[in-house]
Amino acid sequence: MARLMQLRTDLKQRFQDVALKGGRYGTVIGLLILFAVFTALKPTIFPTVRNFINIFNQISLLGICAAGLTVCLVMNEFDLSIGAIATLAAVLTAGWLPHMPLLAGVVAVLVVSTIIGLINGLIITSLRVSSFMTTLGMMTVLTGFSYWYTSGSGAILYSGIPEGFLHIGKGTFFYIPYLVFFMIGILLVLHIVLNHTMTGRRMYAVGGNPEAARFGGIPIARLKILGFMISGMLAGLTGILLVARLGLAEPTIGDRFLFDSFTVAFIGAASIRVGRFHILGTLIGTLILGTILNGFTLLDVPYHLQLVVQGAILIAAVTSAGLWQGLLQSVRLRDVRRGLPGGRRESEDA
Amino acid sequence: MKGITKVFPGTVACEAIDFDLRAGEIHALVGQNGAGKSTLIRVLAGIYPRDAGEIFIEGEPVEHLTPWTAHDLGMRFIHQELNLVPQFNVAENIVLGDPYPFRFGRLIDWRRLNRHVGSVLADLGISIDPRRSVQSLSVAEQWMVAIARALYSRGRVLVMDEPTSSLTREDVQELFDLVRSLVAKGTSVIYISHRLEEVFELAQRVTVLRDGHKVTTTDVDSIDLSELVRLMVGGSPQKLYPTIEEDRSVGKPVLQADELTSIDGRLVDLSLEVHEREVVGLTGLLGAGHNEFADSLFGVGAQFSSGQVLLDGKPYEPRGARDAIGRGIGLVPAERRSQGLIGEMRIWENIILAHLRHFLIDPITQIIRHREANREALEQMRSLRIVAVGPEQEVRYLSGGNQQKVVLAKWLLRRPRLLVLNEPTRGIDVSAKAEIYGLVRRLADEGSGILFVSTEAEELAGVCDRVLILRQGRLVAEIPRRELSAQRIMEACYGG
Amino acid sequence: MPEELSSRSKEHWKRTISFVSGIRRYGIIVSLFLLFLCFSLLRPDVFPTLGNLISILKQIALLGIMSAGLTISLVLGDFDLSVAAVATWSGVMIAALLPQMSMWLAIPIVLAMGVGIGLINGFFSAAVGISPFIVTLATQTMLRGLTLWYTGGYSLYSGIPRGFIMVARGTFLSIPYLVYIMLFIYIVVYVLANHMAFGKRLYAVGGNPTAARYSGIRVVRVHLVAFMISSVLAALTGILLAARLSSGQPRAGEGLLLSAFAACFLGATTFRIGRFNVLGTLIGVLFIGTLNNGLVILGVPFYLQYVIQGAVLIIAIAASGLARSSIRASV
Repeated sequence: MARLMQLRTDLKQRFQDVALKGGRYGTVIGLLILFAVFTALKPTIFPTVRNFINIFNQISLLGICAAGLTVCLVMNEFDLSIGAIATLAAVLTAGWLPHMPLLAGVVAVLVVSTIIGLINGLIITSLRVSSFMTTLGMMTVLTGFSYWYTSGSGAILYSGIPEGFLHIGKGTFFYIPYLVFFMIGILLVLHIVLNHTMTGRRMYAVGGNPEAARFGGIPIARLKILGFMISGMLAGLTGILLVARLGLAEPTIGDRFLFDSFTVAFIGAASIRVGRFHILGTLIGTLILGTILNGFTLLDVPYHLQLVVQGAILIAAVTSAGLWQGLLQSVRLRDVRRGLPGGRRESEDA
Repeated sequence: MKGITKVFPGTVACEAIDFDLRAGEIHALVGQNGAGKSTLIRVLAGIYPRDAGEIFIEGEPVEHLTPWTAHDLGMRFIHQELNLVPQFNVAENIVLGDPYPFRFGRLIDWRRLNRHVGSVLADLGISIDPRRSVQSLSVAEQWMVAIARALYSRGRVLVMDEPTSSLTREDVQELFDLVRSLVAKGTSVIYISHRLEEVFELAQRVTVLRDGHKVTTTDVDSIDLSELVRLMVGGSPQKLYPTIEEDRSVGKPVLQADELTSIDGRLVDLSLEVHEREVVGLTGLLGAGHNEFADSLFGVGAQFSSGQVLLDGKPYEPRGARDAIGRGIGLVPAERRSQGLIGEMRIWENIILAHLRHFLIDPITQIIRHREANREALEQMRSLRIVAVGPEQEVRYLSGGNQQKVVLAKWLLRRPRLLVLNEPTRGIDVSAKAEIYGLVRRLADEGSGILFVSTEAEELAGVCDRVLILRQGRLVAEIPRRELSAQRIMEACYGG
Repeated sequence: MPEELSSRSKEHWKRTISFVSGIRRYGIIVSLFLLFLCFSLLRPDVFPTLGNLISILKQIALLGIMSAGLTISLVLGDFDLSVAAVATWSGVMIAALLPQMSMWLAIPIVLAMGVGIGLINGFFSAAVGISPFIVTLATQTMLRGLTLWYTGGYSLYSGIPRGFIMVARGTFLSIPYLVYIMLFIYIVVYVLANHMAFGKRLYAVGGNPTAARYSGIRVVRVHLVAFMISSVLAALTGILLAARLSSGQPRAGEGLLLSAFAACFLGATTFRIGRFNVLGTLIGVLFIGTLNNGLVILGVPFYLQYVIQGAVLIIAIAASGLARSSIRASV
């Protein structure tokens, strides 16, 4: 009888171990399944190098924007203003570039968006307003500014944008669009910063246990301000590149990036390192979203239904990760028991 | 530190306290709960800004103290709460707040980090792999990590705020050896503890605080235990434990547990009985299962996989707190703040929370009879002598002892058949302890059955009719009233 | 002598602190009056008239109803981002159902859908344990998709009976029905949150879920009910919105999300600082309504209204947030 019980717990543990390892890669497996399904349905169009490059090209801007958001989320702060920053940056780019040297214009827009992030960070850390409310308010303010700026020109700005600038959005290098290089470069840099520099590790510490970070003498406020500046700057870059790609700007152009960025960042937090926001995860989330949108477009699914699926996938990804995390905790409980003084006394008795 | 004053809304937590620490000494800081010890330390750590007073370090005044300037000045803190980052491994938790070793400019050199932390741990005599996740460590090991962090980069001043409350005796001895070796190397230590025997064992000088004021600073050699207690309490030391008649008759059994085994394996074949009018102690070493049993019985811990429980002779299955309350069980949980109270709710709201049903005008509209609830809460506050502005005060502004009395009041509102107290006096000052012991005895005299779960042998000997000892989830001994002593309980716990 | 000194300094501190927190506590109410005064001085002929005051109340009715529900879920710390999408969806649904059936059948059906969406939100967040932020983000994305797909992006306006439209247009004693409905909802939700057992459970779970569980409160059920309340009131908002617009429009409710959150957060800065409360939310709604109304009357272009609203929101919360931080340090 006792042996039977033992066998049962052994089996259970083995199952948990397998589930644990599988669960971490649940979203990756999901991505592969998506690939397989679309390949089966559209074997001539979907699995081509051209289409893959196309997917990467489509997701590049979302990837950049979501990477910035990830930095904030790592510290448990929300940035709801990214969509509005992207919009404003796009509007300003389209408005300023006709009258300014290319580089100066781009730098000016980046500076403006970084300053917006700085303001967010300052309000949140020094006035201690919740980031949710601050960035919500900032979003409203910026939306107003975008409409204001475009109101003189019939809402859409498109004239006089220099050809050289548009080339950034359309040009390729070895068949790979510049935008993809932009995204990969930014993701790589942020990945290294978050995982292999003191600043990044301290950001994780702030998110993991703010009390511990505070008692450990980590300058939490400074890190949060930095995080919001990064997120603002990358949202601004997203807006700039959006103009380079589309050749126009209007005052709702970047709004989608807000909800999409949150979606992919949360899907990312359900991958590989479950329960933690990280750049690799965000990339996986972005790829999943990009693949779905690409595949559905190929299958002629109406755009609005894509929204429904997008929502469903978000819930499914996080639910499955949540279930696995539950298992994870039960396994950890086991480990804790192993390490308890009880276990040590046992060895002393023997 | 000179004339440190810290004011909170409605109270002055510290007032004009002078405190000095000499190089290479261990200076104990004692006082009852709410005396201002932790506040003083948090001012020193730069967590709370001070409202008045000056701080000098080696004669230099420190103007603007923040947690990181405190760190830079060589002050290291072990706070009351475990402050680890759960997602990090041991090495990263230890290096938290200190610079990492770098390579290629600003990239972290993980190998050197692990090697360095490993050697620091080895120096401290702690055998934990620096790459392990802190979530996989036992509580005692987690405390060792927290302590190692404070010692990682040696500071001039080490402040320890009740570091031993979660440690076993051997761990405490190891820690003390560690502290002494640090002091021998020139570090100064401020040591805060409720366990006064530790003060005499470790410290050279002691400072006593009371109600936010300094009472005195003196050499440990020139004072004895009873004098120290007198200084802390303020008057002559009152009697801590109630007198219990030798041959009390107990009533019929309230709780009969038969061969209980919990799903997580922390309790094995546990059988026990609690009678009316009886206070039964349940104890063991940290992790022996006594604390877990309290939660499981109330339906908020691990479930039982086998065995049965009878309550007043009828089968009872602990499925959740709601059922337990319905059957007349009350639980004073081990973690007062996180399990017992809703900090930002008012006193009366907390008191009626478990019995909302009894305060409804009618069951359909579910509207609460405010005035009656308020009146009954006030009655409880009077009979338990809860010190507060009134029943409308939020409980987070109360001291630890008064908060614990609010938790008790919650169950005394409807006389429980069985009251389970899980570490009811943890972190509570002496006078509140005495009141709680008296209350427990009074409740037993009035007919309830009491299961008093505690890890403090002293109080079990003082308040219980008999004491049951657990070891690794099994019942190993039962000590009746006439044999009861702290010595006897400790021996049984350690398997002597 | 030192005794005397210390008690005096204690008194001094006490008084300073209660004065400061008093100002903060009623800061929103004070600024509401200042706002009122300001607009009245700028446009004495238009703003402070009875007709305009009634029209402010009418304008805020829908926002008010939605915010009342949102307050309940925010007490638990559940950010219900789906309320605006639920309102939009409900508006479209009622417009789709009305041509086929009686208003008295259609309205309960749409409200029931709201309850169902709340249940889904609550199930995934409380029972499965996903952060409510994500769950409601996902449901709002899905609902938005469904709404746009169902309508194809066009408004539904045919076959809506006059009786239904009158719900939004009609008046009693020259006060619109909408205002009565809003006040009724506020009374109900206020009693629910402050005088009923559910309210105590709500604040207990919001304050400390573990302690609530140890007190015998079924935490998951409280979350479920809270989500249901916020969703059903959002659905009601959508129905009334359709009545006011005489049509079901696929983007009708979107603008309400920001304002509803703003109202709730503004409300959390009054009465009991840092706690979401129904009366506070009502003040918040009034504040936003007055601001919008005044800006329109002054002829401020709509984009500047955005800017001013956002800035005022941050400033108002920052002003009271300072008080909150000084209190938090003591806990």
